[in-house]
Amino acid sequence: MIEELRAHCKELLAAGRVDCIYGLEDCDGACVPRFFTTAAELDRLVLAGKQRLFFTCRPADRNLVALQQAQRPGVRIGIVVRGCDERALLELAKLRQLSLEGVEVIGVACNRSQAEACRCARPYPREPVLGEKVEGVAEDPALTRFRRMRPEERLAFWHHHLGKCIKCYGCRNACPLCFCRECQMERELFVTPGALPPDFPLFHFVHMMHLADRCADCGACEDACPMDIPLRLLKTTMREAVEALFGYRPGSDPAHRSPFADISRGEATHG
Amino acid sequence: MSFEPKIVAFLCNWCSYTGADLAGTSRMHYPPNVVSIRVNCSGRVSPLMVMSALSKGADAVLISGCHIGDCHYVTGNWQTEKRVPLLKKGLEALGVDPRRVRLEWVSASEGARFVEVVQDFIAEIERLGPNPIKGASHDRRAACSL
Repeated sequence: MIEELRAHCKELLAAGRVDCIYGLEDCDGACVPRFFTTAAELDRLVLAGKQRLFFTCRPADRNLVALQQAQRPGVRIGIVVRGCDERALLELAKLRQLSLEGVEVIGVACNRSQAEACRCARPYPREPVLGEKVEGVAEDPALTRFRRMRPEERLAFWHHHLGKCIKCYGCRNACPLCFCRECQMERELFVTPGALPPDFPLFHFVHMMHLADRCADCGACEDACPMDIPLRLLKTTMREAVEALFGYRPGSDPAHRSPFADISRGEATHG
Repeated sequence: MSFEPKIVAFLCNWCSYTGADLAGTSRMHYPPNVVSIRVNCSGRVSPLMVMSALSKGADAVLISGCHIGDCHYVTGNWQTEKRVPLLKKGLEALGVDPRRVRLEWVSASEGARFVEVVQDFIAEIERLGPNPIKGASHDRRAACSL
């Protein structure tokens, strides 16, 4: 699989269809996103389990694709994406954090065991170049349990889990869709400086509201959390709410814009 | 002791705040449980501000602005109209009753309607009882600092 991917990328480079390939590189066991420009470099291209491709949190220059596009106008970039990466890519483009112009999407579908490891519902990009689309994981049992909870049980559940928070900002920093220059999670108005655990539930509420219409469901927030807070339950609930209310699913076609990015009236119902 | 709900009302400068003012100048009576906060437009009210009010002591939050089509910033209340249902879903996810947040359109001439809205809302919150998340972080930290 990885050999096929490398061969495909080398071909694209050799044929001059792209100037560089953006993907993950194996650095002695750790994986980092980088640009590959030669066939020799591409031998270190990997598809690593839970490593995410996009890091956009501050400082803003972590958004490597946007930097490359700003420095070299007209650059053609091949981007190796899995399902979650592609959803993040499309949302970032809709939010004007990078441009899809000149971008060649190299989609790779994950296999069943990878999908299970990430509890991923859509483990494939729209048009995979490599790999077969496999059925995603139906539903996380934790989510099923969460759905059945009564309001007071939910409140107790979140008191327990959010009370463990050590305010490391790992969920925000790992999130591919968090890029505000001025983060509301650092604003004294909402989150008391120096206080632990952080304000319940405001600290986590900021992230869940901001991600409602853009979450790629990659699970980076939950993986980054050192206190094992089930953050994806919140993200999934909000994503489903946006879909139920407005019929919008993040990571969908670039022409389909979020109801909140659109100033028109939309399909909203009286709340 | 009977429960006196505290309600924070975000009122738009052009319609609802003026509507509330009209209720006052017309000497209409309504319970003093409402703390009004004047905002330029109901579209300015972020879900974070609502959650902030709820977690810092309010039992409920009223958001009120111009009727649809009357927004002085043309599209402001359309945004409110989209945001509030999502905010309610967020409250539900956390286990807070979404009825604690209400969106009502009140125009500058509807002083009587403002009074009705407030009375009805207060009656509902009295039935729901105190907001379970108010002061939650403070209590928790006090317990931790021992």
